[in-house]
Amino acid sequence: MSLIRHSLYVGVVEKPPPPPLTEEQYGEMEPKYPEGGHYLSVLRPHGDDCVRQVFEEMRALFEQNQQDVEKALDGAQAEMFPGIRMRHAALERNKRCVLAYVYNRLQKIAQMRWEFGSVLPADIKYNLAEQEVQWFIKYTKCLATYMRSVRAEGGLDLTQDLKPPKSLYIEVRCLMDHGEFETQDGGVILLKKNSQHFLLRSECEHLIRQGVLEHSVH
Amino acid sequence: MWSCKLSTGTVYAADKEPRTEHRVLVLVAFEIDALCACKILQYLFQCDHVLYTIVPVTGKQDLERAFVEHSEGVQVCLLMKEDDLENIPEFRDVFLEDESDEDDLDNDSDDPETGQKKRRFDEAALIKRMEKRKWEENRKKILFEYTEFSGYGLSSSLLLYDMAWKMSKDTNDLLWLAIIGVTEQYINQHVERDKYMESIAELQPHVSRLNHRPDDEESSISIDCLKVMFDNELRLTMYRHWSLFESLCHSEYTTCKFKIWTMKGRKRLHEFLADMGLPLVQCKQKFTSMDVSYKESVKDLFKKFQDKYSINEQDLFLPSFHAQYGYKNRYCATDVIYASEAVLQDVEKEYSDSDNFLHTLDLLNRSKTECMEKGIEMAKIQLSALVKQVQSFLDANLVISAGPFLYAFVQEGTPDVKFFAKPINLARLARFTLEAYCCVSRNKKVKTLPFVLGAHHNSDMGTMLVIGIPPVLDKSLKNCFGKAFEQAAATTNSRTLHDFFDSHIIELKSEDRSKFFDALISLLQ
Amino acid sequence: MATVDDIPFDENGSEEEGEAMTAAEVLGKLEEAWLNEKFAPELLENKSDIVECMMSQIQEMEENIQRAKKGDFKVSLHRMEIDRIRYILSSYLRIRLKKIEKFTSHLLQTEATLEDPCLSAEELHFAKQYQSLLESHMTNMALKHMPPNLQKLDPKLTSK
Repeated sequence: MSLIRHSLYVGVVEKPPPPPLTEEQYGEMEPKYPEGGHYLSVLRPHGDDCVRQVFEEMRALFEQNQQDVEKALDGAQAEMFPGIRMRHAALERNKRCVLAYVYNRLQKIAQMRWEFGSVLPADIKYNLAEQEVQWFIKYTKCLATYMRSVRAEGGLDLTQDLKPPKSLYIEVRCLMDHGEFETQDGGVILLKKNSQHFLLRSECEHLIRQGVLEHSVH
Repeated sequence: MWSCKLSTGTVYAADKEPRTEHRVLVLVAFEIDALCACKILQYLFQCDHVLYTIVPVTGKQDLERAFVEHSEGVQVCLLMKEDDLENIPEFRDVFLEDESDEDDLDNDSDDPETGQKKRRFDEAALIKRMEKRKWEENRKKILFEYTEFSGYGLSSSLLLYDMAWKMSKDTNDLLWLAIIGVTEQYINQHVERDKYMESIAELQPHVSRLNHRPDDEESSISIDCLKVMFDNELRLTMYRHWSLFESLCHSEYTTCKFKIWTMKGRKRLHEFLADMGLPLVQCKQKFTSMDVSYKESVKDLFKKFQDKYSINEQDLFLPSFHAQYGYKNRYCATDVIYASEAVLQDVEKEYSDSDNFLHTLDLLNRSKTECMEKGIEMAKIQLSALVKQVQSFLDANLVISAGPFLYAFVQEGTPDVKFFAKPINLARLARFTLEAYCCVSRNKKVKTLPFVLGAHHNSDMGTMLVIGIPPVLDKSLKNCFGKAFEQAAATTNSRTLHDFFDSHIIELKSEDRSKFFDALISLLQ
Repeated sequence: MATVDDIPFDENGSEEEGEAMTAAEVLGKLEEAWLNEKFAPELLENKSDIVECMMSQIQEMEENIQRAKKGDFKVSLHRMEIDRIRYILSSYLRIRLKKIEKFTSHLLQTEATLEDPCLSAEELHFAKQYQSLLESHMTNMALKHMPPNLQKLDPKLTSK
């Protein structure tokens, strides 16, 4: 078994071999990179480096396996098979972890569409990989197509009315200077920091979600 | 637009049904009464689905700007500010539209055949012109008289509560707001005691009506509900949330009466407490932790010993109300005022004026108890700074008689100068200082002299705030300084800013101080 | 519900669907569908006819409000009613969409075998689009970089 462990170890870290990895440590890369994945509110920068390292490790494992498989076929050495199987399991595990990571991030990015609307805030965009931004745009398009197709002209904006309506009008406080805002009946309101307004709930819901307004509850 | 009485009337009176399709712009001054009125109005508007926008305004320029910015699409504009409603000149005396007359004359001259008629009309026009001249003179006189003295009228929150009641929309919460508004006017000496008592008498039936409950189990309400009760309050600042001793040392009346800032005065205060049988240890700890037997008898003891120390009952006791909700929250009207004014005048740099405004609105919200507690602590700090400042005025003899009035300055670099760069605190300091000075001074005449106080305001601009207040003995509380400041500034070309709604507070370039004061002295001689 | 009854309902509109229902009944059906969908773990059959019916109902109510006298007190009641219905509608569709996003490939697989399709036409379109988006992203981000024998998405592992 020591041989197998050694070969694995070579595959994992090539250059600086710090304290030799034990069996439990193998695969410890994963818990590090999906870190950003678990809390819905924050999205960490995409862990490019970590993921690349995992790919690297996978390649090493794969090469090792191929060699061993050839050897095993040639010499029919039975003791090779447990090693091959072990490596293959590791490969599958890594694949699953990477996919889970990628998928988790996607789900969160999709969630962003519901929270922020079709334009991503700059600070969040900064943490996304280019392909993820592209995915967000495509998802937005896909969703928009669906919402447009829901009967009636104009469709139904599903990102509105996220919470059951309690009252027709609500009181809001303006958290930042937003400029002029046109209401449904054609009136114009100046949303200036620290002014308070009594508005139609349906009108200002998206502004509340964007953080321009704050619903003040009594 | 200037008086909320007329304007609020129009929102509701013009239509039987409220005009939901119009947006109402509510401009609110930085005064507790105005804030309370604004909250009452918010509630009424919300009930009726009247759309509104609320914008806080600090002064006249701010008012103008806010009006221009927000007035688009607004049909009705309300200004929340206590104002003198009684002496507002009649509309037709100030604004007269002459257009129709001019039109008449034009039409006549177009017609050549009626020469006879034309002359007659010329005569008529002459008479009209004479009348107009007379009217103009009259107008000038009226306007001068109106602006010569400034004072305060009925509390706007009381007015709005009254309206809410007439619309059957009054609640205990609105009543409590009205009480706070009314009390604020009295605490800040905007109205005299008689007027305050009138308002209290008006409020008392409402309090009994809304808080009356039979004493059986069934009709008892949850402890979390607001209960308002009438009480003859001790006029000791926030004593329920402080220690009795500290409160005695920070209340205007008791400090001046005992002259706390002298050794002799302190001794006399100790003597007073000893006479009442209140151990110092008990007095110096938090009032809430005081021994129950002492706590309950404090009021009676004060009453019993007031004559011996020639304390005036009217000055020590104030008929007022207190509110109770939850187990812990018990505030009297004055507590709320001190706390909310402290938050309104927060000197923290990161908060703008409008931030403070919103924080104060939050504080007046019953559900946010932590805001209230924070406010009380802030009020204590500001009050301590104020008493210290009064003491240093007296110790260093900084109150000087200029002949027709007394004056003093808070210099730049004084430790707590930042607190006095705010108008409400400055006004409070002015009253406190004048009262204290009158108690100390041997000269009887000082009680008939008004007082002008200046405080460093803004280093970058090099400006100071100047406030003038009427003499101690003048109970009418009419303030003549608004006009006087204006004239003194005009004659000396001093750079002043008459931006505050209270005309007796102005901003003055520090360099122009001496010439401005020279002019003021000769003006008031 | 009472306010829905107040609105003159176009009887013909519902007769076209084969069965006559009052607006209140439709709303009742919608609520039922919504609650069922909300508390069921899997995707239930679509009720697009109810959704459609309610959408046109809302539109009608909105037109009525436009015609109503300004400042009429009833207007705000109707508005509130519309808001509530719209909430139920969007909540219903939202819940379905979330389920579709979650079980995309499973749904697409079983949909073909079902006689009564679960998904409405629009939902099916969305599901297909979503699925292809997901797959291409997975391939680009991860699978492409993996050893050749691991470059496939195993539906058994990914679609649960």
